[in-house]
Amino acid sequence: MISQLRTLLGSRNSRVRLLSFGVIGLAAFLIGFVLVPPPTIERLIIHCGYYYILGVFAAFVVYAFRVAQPHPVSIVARLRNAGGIGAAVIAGTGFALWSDSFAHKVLFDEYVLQGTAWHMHATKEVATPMRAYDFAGTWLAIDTFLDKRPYFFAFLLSLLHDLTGFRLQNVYILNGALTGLTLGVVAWLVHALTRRAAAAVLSVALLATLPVFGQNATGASMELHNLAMIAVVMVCTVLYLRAPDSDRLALLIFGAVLLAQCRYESVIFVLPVAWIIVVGWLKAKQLLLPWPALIAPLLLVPYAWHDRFVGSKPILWQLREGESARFGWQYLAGNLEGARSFFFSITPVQPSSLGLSLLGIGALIWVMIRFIQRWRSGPSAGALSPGVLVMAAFGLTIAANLGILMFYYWSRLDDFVTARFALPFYLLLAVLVGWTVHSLERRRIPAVRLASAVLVAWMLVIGAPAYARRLYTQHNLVMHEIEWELQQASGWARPPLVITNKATMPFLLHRIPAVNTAAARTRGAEIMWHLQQGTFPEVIVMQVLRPTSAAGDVGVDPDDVLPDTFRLEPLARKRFGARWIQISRLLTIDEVSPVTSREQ
Amino acid sequence: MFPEVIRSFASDRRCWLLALTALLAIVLAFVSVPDQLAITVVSRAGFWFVLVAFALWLWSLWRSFAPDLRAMRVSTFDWVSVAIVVVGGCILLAHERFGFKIVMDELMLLGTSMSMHLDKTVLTPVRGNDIQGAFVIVDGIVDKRPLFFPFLVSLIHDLTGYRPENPFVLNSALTFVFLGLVFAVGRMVASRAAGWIAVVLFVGLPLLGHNSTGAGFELLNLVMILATLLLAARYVEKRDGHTLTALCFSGLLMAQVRYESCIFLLPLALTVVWVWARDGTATLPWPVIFAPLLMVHYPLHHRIFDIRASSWEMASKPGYSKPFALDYVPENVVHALQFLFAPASDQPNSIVLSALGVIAVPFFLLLVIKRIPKLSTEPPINVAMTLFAFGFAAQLALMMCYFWGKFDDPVIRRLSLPTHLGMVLAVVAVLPQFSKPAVIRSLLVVAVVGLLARSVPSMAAHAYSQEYLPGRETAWRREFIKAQPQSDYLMIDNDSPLWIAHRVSATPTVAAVKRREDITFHLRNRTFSNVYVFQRLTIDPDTGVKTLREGDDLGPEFVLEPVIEQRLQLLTISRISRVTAIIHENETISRSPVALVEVRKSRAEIEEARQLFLQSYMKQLP
Repeated sequence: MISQLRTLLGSRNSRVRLLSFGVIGLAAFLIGFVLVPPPTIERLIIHCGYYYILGVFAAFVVYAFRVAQPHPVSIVARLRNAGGIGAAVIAGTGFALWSDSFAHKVLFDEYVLQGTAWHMHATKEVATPMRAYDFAGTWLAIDTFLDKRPYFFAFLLSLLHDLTGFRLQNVYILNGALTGLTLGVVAWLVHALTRRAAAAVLSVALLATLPVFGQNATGASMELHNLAMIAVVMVCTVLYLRAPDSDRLALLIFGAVLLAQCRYESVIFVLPVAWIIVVGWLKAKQLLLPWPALIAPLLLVPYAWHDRFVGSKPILWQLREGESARFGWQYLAGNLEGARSFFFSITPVQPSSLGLSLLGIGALIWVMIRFIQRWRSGPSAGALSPGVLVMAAFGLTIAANLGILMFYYWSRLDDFVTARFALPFYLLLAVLVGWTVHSLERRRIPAVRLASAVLVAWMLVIGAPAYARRLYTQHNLVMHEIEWELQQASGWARPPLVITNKATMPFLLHRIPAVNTAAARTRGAEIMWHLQQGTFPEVIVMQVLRPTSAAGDVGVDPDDVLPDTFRLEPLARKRFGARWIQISRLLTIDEVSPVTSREQ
Repeated sequence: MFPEVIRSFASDRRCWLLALTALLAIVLAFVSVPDQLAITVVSRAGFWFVLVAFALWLWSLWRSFAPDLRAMRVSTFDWVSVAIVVVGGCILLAHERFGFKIVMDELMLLGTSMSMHLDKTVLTPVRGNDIQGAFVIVDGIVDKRPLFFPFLVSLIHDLTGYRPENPFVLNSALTFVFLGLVFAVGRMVASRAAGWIAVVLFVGLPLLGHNSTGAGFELLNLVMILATLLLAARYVEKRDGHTLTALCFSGLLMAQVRYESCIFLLPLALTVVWVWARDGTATLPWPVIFAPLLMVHYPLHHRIFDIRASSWEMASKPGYSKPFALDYVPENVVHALQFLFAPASDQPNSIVLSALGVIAVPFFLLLVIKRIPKLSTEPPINVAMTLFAFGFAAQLALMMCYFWGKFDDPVIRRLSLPTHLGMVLAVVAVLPQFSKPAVIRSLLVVAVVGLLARSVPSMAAHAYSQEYLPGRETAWRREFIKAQPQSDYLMIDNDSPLWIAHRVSATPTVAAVKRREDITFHLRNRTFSNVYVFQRLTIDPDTGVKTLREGDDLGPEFVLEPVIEQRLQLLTISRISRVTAIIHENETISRSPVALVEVRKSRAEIEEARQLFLQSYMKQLP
């Protein structure tokens, strides 16, 4: 290996380029982690983040065309001849989109992402509105913050708004398209590994029937986007390894940088990509370092900045009572228990697939045995194919990613909100099952039929009741609460000002002015002034009522209590699970404000 | 001949296997399983029995018909006949509103389909509530009705999502399928024009339109009888294993549509044995050998009639002590004739069909008698028609011996549909005896004139459906459900399956009276946006005094405020009231808001109180 690397550095040009890469890498480290303080980072990301992600995305698209250009006819012909695999991808996409209702599933992540996308669409700034009002007919955000979430998904959504006009439903169109893309790329990967349509169709079916896949395909979150990008980058690595050249390397690098901007932890995929790049150099017997590769460390600086910014703002961590760190050993036992009950759930309550779990774990064991056998047979075993190398690298990374999540404070997979974290692992399992059934089929075992039978049995016994009930979606009571609150707040001819116990974003996206309860407590005089001026037809207050005993005896949640000076008249009350939402009209605020003094 | 055939059967290992599975099925179904366990088995495994049978039926149909389908060319399609079937189906579906026409039959079937969809179990929900955001069936019973219709509805739920209207979708589709099959039989027996006559005769039957727009299993029953007859004819012609499997499983599923449809297993068995006897050997595919085991749940299900004497509905007709008796025949025959020839305003009948049928049936019987000795020389469809004639006759005879077999009763008239099918088949069966084409043309003209001049006005007015109050009350309650902005209220109604099928929390009135304390808890805590009760009042024509129907009275402890009421019949008021307060231990508990208490600051204490309340809430669900 070392001697091979020496060969790569044989030419002067190669040594200079490698040295340049090292210098740029050092500069990126200093800029990313040392030289720029968090307040500056915040301003830089807000004002420049959009153009950064636009540039990387544009470069990715350009290089994708350059890689595809030599074979445009074959690509069109392949799409036309997709046959059974194409039909399976279309059917799988249809099934996934049918299997759950289009709605916000992970509150408030999804609203925040939509808020960021709306702000990007309107101002080309990376920020999330907190307050917005109608000024002379224009809906204007007057207060924003930099959110912790990576912003590639929000950028794509803003692009859709740019092209088709702003509407909340655009996120479902985007996720619907990403569903098809994910399944199509999975089919491509399995076909690349096996050259067999039946195996590809099986993998597509396994993934498309996974309830958590359908749940996110019809949601407004960034999970499908993350999954699609993992699969797309895997395709880029296979293409690069098949015939390493500068264009394919550039495509891979831009893809990896974009993947790092999909979810917080997806930056981990930079490691297998780096390894694959070196393997490609060895295969090509030359050091490929085009300009995108040279500046790659700098392209990751915004990610480092964002991470440092989030690290400097503990309020963004959303820790629960009694928790002080995001990662720790103390979370491991609970998370492992959650993972076990999720992956091996025999009831329709969890959005998991026992069929895929069992087949996938079996495939994982089979693949590991095959790798060990190959490793023990030594170098004579021959070079591994690009598909196998990519599966090994990305498989280990996805497993490591899941392993790291087991130390995270909020990643019990049997929690309805965090079940989505299992998606990358399920993607891996689906591809491995396709690969394994193909390997076993060659040993005269009807593996595709047997695996299909397992899938059908799971579908009939557990899957069908799961889709019918969708408890994993329906149990999200906050979703029901927001739906009702929005419905109630939309009942006026002109939108009222809402004082909400939740985030303001859902209301702002529906063009309903809102402030949260904490802000309202300190801004009584200003609210009263607007009440008197008739700025809003009403000011309505939304509070959670809690039972205090087995008999009920409800009271206002301490977090939602307003000062006694706020005079409220209850309008409506509705139970959600074991708590109620009460909507009241604000009659007046008993406080002598400077405004009322002036009026007198 | 017969001793040889029996010797041949006895030497066939598969025949012994069939005998063995049949014996095992009999032991399991009638001997070894106690009553209560039988109901549990049906509840847990009933869906899976039907699913396997249905899958095998579809598979065998595909194997039998695949060569024909591959050879089919669109250019050779009989588009005129397709158009007649489509137009006929549209006429049947156009005139009446879709709704639940027979209460509780159709609601119970819908309820069973709901639990099949949600849990893959056979259970009709009686109590259901919104728990933690999801609608959950709290309590239910295993209904007496066979499972194939709710199974098919549950498949539609599975494929398109749960909707109480899905039975209407199924019945609409079955209407076209039925007319298509009717045409096929007519064409096979006589001619293309005879097929058209059969279709037009059925399109002119308002009773069929009434059921096509309902949620009952009558259309499926007709479809399965005809499908089985046609498959019998095909088996006589093809004599292969796949067709036999298709025929057997068609019969097996047909027997699971209506209780009495298992009568048609008799002509099915006759057909199979007749073919075997002619061939001198028994063709026995593996699915047929195991078919008896897939019927085990049917007799187990029938045990409900032993466990619940009320299942016979004897209480509905005071004065009757036995469900079946020869004594009922004269009275039932009179009622049957009254139905067949009643005015259009009174009954959903077709005078043309009745007259032609009554004339044709004796001639058809003569034809059957004439054909039996030389059956082997007859075309396959005539063999099947001849053998199935016994099935239609037995079905009619059973109905005439039934204590409630009065065809002019609003609830019972649907049971005459198989008889109508028999009459139409009799008409087309005797048509080939007329050599002049003018006869067929004249009959077609008569059928079309009858359709336009009598049946369409009858269906448009559908006066015959107005006297059945439960059907109209159900439609009225569904309008109430639609008018509510949210389905977060509790309804007290003895027809609780209606509300639960629409995912509204509901409990029967009798249960609400017993669980007054629990409802008080919910009223005080406003866990439901409202608590309503449905009641029916009858008005004394002399005094004008309104009296609550038996079982509808909640007692004086419930304080009610009428919300909506309607006179759906002259001396009846249907009313929905809001429960505004409940008097409990001399204290009046009302919905008016009570003073809020202070909530403790600690999140742990808040969570503990939440858990306590949730447990209490679950225990006290009405």
